[in-house]
Amino acid sequence: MSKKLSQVLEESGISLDYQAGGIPPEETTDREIKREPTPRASRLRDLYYQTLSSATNEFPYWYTRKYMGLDSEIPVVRRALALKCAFSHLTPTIFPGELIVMGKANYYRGSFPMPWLSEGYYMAKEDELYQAALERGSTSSDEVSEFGSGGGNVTKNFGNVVSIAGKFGIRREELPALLKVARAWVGKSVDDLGHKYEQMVPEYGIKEAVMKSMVCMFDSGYTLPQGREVINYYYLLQHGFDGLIEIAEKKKDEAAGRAGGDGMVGMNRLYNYEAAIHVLEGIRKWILNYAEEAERLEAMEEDAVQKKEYNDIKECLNWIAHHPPRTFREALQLCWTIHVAVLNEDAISGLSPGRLGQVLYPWFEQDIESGRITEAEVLELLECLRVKFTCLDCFASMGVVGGVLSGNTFNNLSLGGLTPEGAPASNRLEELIIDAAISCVTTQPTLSVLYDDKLPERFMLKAIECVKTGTGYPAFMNNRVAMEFLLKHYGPEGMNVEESRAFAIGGCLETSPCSWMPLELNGKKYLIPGGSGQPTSVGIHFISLPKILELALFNGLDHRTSLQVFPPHNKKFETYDELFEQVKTYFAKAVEVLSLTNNIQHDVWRKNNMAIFNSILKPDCLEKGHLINEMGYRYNATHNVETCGNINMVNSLASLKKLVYQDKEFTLEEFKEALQENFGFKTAAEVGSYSLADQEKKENADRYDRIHFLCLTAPKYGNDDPYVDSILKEWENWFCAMCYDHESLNAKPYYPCQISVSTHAPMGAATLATPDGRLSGTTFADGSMSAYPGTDRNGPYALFTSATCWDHSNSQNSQMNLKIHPSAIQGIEGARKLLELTRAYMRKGGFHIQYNIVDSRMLRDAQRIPDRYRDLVVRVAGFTQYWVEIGKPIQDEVIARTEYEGV
Amino acid sequence: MTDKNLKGLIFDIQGYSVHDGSGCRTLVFLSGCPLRCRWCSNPEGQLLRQRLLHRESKCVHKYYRCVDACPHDAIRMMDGESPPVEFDRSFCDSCDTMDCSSACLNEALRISGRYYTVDELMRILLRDQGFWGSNGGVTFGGGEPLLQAEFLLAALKKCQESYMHTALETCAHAPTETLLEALNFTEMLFIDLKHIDPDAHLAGTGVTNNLILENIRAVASSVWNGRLIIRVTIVPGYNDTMENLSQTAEFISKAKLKEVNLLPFHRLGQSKYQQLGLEYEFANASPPSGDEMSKYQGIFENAGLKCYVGYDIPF
Repeated sequence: MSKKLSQVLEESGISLDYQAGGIPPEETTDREIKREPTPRASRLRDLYYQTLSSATNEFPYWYTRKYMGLDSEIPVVRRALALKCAFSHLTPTIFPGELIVMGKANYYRGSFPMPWLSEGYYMAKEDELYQAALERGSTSSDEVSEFGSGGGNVTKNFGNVVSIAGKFGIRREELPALLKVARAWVGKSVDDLGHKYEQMVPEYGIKEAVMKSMVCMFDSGYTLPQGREVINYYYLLQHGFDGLIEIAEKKKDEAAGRAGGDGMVGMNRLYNYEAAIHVLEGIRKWILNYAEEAERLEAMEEDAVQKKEYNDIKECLNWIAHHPPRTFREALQLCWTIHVAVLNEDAISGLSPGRLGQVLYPWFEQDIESGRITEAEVLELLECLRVKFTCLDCFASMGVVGGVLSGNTFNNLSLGGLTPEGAPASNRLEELIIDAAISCVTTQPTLSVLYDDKLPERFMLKAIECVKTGTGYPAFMNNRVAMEFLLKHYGPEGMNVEESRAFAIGGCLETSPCSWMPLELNGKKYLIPGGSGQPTSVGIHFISLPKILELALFNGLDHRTSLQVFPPHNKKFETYDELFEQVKTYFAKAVEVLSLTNNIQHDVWRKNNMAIFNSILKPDCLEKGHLINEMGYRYNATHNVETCGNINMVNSLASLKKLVYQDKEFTLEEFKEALQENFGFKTAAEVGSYSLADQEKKENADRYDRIHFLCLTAPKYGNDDPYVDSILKEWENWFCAMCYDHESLNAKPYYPCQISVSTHAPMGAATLATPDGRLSGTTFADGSMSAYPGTDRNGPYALFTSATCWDHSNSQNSQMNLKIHPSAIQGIEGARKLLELTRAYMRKGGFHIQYNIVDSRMLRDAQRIPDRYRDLVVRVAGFTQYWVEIGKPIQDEVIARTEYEGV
Repeated sequence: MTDKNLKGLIFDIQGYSVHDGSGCRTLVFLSGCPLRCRWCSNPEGQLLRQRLLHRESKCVHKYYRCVDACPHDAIRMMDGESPPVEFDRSFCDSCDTMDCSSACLNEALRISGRYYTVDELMRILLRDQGFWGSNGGVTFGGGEPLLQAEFLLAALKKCQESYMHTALETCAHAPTETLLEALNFTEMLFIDLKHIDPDAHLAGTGVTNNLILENIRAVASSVWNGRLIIRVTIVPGYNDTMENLSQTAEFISKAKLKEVNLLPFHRLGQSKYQQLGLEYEFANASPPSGDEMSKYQGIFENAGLKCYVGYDIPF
């Protein structure tokens, strides 16, 4: 009889369902806070539930057609004209009941591929290119990534709809045209061109092996070249399209024919302003097309109320297509329009609206004061905005969108923080943003509170109330730790204390540099925050640390693919230090090779596919006349090194140190055999679950019982045990410093980024059993500071102590996910205590914490009967997603994560 | 000076506990109790000794590593039966090696209870102190914390020296002077009152309540100015009669006390009875409903007392 590991381990100190503080009540506990949206938002959200991710060919067609006809044009102008053409030809669609309008494409959940970045992956089934693409290392992440099969994902063909990139449906008749457009980019896309040149890196062979063996997850240069950044709405809010075009015209006149003291790129300012004007005109036309559509609908509409709403939409769009907004609604519509336009310019995930409640406060304040709008109307608009954000889809490959992002687009809205003078920056509008997130639960935008001790108690408790909806947002980020990081890292580019206070979270939790901009509205002056840095997480995307350890143990050979990934080291590892050194050596080699190839990809991207619209929105491109590709942004040191699975690696090192080198229980060879034999267990794929708890043993495989037992009971991170925490500290100190030895294409140092997003599932799937007792193919610990499920047995205070043994301000971020049982935080008293817990972690120097307030029995139920749980949202690693839309490996991991309960 | 070698037996320490005192707290469960409540939810803490817990669900019966490891031949193979091994608990309860537990590679055997010096305990509490927040602190419970009085007093004293908020949860079946001495270092006190009738108390817990009632009166009339809350766990079929509850209310009110906390009985300790090889009498009892609890609350409120149900206590 084969037993499941959970049965074998149940209820003991090592139980995988262990809960600090006690056992939850016998009946399944629902989330405490549940509210309903306004009827309008409810209808719009229902429409979202009923629609599917849909791809169209409109934008790619017009972009390609224009671009290919402009052979010898200056690259930036050529791209601008192609963008202008594509924007002006998009079919506008307005859905009845909408207040905030415009979208990426003409479907409710519409999006489109960008073959100029990469054309191979979505032609997959139809084209021989697919085979060639498969041969390339980078697509290996597609093979081990999964989407959830429920919700709006189109994972299979049906009727006249073809599934592409594992998630999107496209009408069959559009497919030939899509492929024709894609073929035009063969050999010309960023993917293809970048690949041509990255092979010129002398150690390119290592890069290819690193990608195929899943040491690294994906290339950002052609998949998601932008994102993980904070947008800046300021210039258009202050000047409007006409005003901004006027400024650009003036600057163009000033720059024409002048090098301005810069013999390299000074002359480019002329072309850059010219390009900016074209793109602004294209987007203005796109808005006016929507206004026309509203007018058309208004003329046809018989219902007086709806007719009036179309009229309002028309007036609003006609105004903001030219002028700065006058009202809160116009300002909100303009922000949304800008947001979508940036997303249509490039493949982006993690374009954060930033501190939207502070950006829009001037209009809110003046409209409320003059009685132009009520708080109830504001709330309804904010709810509608949530639905709009949730309808956004990001079109990239399955490996990236499924494996890394779980389909999430990471439009992270930040709240709180400080003003330039150091006063609390939260305001009434931010409270309403939280209220809208409570009443209209959707996955986007996710919320982040920039936690500072100065923030008012009422505001913090409102944020905690929102946590109790079980949505996982807001997450809490440590304002002071972020400021320290920004000052250290961006100091050389001029970051100072006042400016560091403008920061917001880009993407799921990337600390991003921002700036204060002087806004004037009706004679009153404000300072509003907005992004001023290049995209972050555009560097080395997720190095699997357990995999690096595996390769160090197995002399650089990957058993899954039989590839010799790194040159053999041929060491016997007589000492623990020697082993740890080899881990660092292989890691450093991976970073070196990946930084070189990454630099080339991004350089190819910026030569022909530079951001134009997104660039001129950010300081100081408009002033300087240089876009992203010429480092016109105020902060350019944004490329980073991301890791995944650090806790499994640290636990594994502790286990090896103790069992092999200290207690001498086993030789390293015996250890390696046990890992290869998966401690006598079946593989995760055979079992059909990626959670450690569900793994099954092979028949009569007791040979590795003792070593597995000792591995599982070796010191584990999260228990305030200096034995293992000191290894974490040594690793962090080394890793955070070594990134600075590598140079990005902007000639700035790399820096560490420690979040897992969803990569801990596919990367775990490609990794053998690890010396911490984790079994082959199972998911790693999520985040970077969460304990491996079931291994933190001394409660959250011990976990927090372990987590803060190193200085989080040396890293762009760290990530702590806690699952808490709903019954532990009931009532206002429970809310206060959850706030105390959050505050305690922040005061100890933890950077980030977020909570999943959910009964795991409900999640298991949702796995069995997904149809009943279409609206169930959970927190994954840094973002909130619909349960039915995430892949099974991540579902299993969320269930297994430790529940804290204070019964 | 505290004896450096003084040790206390503790069967659990729980951080971020939110129900037993104000704010976020750390709960320290001391082993040993003079009472034997039939419904006890922490049976592993009743004896002042380490206990062997055996989890049948984890017991893989083909290896019997525990059988070979036992120095007392107290474990017997029961091939093909459930449970697959049988323990002679009279040996196990006095065993000082518990070799069987380390022999099992599936953690089917676990030892409950660990000895801590005061300093070892303080290392944990001082760490946790940084996380409690403004109203939090430490709560000593058990078992019956006053049974290890010397250790408890030493620990409480150290806690107070370290500016910690201290709470004590006791059944009050302890010498009056010990209880009063502990109060010198305690800011909040929970006394669990099981039954007002001495005979019923004896039947349910193995002891009469004379000393307990006397202690409650002693605390009430002492100069101690901390907060005392009487806790009554409503056990179905045992103390849930109008008669018992109204007499309990009358007693509390006569003692000039103000606050009562009613807790519904629960069955969460059931699996631990199995693991200890003990019978659990309450397997089929159901916890009192919300309506019933409200009814009982009324009895205490009619007696002029503040009565909180469950963990909804204003701290």
